[in-house]
Amino acid sequence: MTEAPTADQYVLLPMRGMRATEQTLPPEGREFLQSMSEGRREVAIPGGSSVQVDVLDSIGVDGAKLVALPPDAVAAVRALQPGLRLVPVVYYAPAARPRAQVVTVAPLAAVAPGIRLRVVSDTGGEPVAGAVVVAFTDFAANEGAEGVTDAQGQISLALGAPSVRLERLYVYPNTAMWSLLETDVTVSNGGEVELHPIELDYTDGLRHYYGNGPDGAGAGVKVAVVDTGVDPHPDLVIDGGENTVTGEDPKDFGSNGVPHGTHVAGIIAARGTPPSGIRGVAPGVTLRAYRVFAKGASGASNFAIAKAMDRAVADGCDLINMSLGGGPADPVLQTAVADARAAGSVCVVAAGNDGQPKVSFPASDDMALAVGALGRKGTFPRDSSEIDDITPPFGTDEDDFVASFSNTGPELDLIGPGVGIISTVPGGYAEISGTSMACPAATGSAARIVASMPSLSEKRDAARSAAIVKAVAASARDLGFAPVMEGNGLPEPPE
Amino acid sequence: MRFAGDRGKPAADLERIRRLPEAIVLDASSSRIVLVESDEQPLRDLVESLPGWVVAPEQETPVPDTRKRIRRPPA
Repeated sequence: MTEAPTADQYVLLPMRGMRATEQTLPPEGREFLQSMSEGRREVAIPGGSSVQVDVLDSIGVDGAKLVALPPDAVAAVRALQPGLRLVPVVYYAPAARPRAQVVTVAPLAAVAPGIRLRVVSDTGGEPVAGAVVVAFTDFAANEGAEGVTDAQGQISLALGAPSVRLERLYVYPNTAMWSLLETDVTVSNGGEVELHPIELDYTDGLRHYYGNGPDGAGAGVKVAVVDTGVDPHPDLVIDGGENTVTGEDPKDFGSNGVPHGTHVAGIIAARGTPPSGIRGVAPGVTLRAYRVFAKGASGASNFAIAKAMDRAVADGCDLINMSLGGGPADPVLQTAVADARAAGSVCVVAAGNDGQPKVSFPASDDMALAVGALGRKGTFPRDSSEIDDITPPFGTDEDDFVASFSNTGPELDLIGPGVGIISTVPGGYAEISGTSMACPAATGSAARIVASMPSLSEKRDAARSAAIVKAVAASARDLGFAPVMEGNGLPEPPE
Repeated sequence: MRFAGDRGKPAADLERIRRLPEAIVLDASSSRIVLVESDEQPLRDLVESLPGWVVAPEQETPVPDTRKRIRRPPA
């Protein structure tokens, strides 16, 4: 006997308000909502199959419905009716004060002799400055020492002895080199660690799935990068932008000192030519940068993010890339995402890197497109830290995997390459992994899809953004993972 | 505080926010959103009578990073 799939409860409702009107929902969405009277419904989804939806309760014919359906089917229903929200039912509990907990802290190594290591390139032996070296004596307990190499590529690690066996040694260079992971390795004072240089014509995960974006791909589509700022780079053409951090110069939308935003921008829109430069997925888009992280800061406020989103919508951006998230849902960002959709713009948001079955906010907002990270065996060196990200289950093609760090869940809409991705950083190139990289890969692909939609209305409204969401979902290729791991799949741009 | 809807924040609403005792408007340069320094409850009370507005405490989102980190020194 086959067990029926487990169903979870959701509220199905218009993008704004609790009832469908001409202002809040296109006719197709209104008809769908009106058809959902109480009882069991078979909903046909793209691809010829159907989903069983139990309508448990309703606030009138045009009103919100309480429905039950399998989590695996959520992405398909959202793609079918992008003008409607499908929000998980939440049960609130009394806000009890948390109990105090004792946190065990290991005794500090008062006198910890340092092991001096040198990090160099494996081709010419040049020192690698600014590399983060993380040495685990006990990986499960998070014990060890870490630091950053100096201009001579040297670092002193407080490991408590002149020679130490490490469970794991990670090296994360800033630019130009692949990261490194060595396991069960003994490091001794005066030792050297060698890194492989990045070759710009290497077939990494991004180029495996998307190749190098053709000249002009995505032309006419305006894309916002809401991030740490985007620095000038020979491979990037930045149309403009704004810094929305309160108290800083609004015109300073360059990097805040963290390369993240410049890397994200290159994945979407880099226009270089390998092997002297790199190509993004959609080199023809009009790229706009909105900096939401203050200079030198590692956090962005919900205020700065919402302000940037509003600015991007006002500037006519079709797609808003948000490779950020985490923390509790808040109504300020929720309304910003919904207002963007109502004004014809679509937010594409990273699912988060916690390796948890829970998509981060704001990717979890049902008006955003949530993107998880896909990896591909053979698209990074065998001794790079990316080897850590390989985990089952594997796709129909057994070289495809969902990255171990990628958050999963029914809120996922898409998956994009996000393991060992080479892109632009201030002053050069670097490889980074994360749903932060998968997100712009999906955004670039979506931009090419938008560019190929001549019938797309110029009127910036909910119907326009719904058409974009529907087209992107329809383009997605199922890679053979469960929908909670890949959403609708990998968005594929037209030939 | 953010004004949700099809248009920018109403000037009269902003004036009521500015008049709130012990509230300081730090940034009202955006068409829809206002950064206010205040106790939370007076803002929540005010929003009850301002249709279309939402209020939330300022909170920070970190720069995403998948790199491993040490939490404590070797035992």
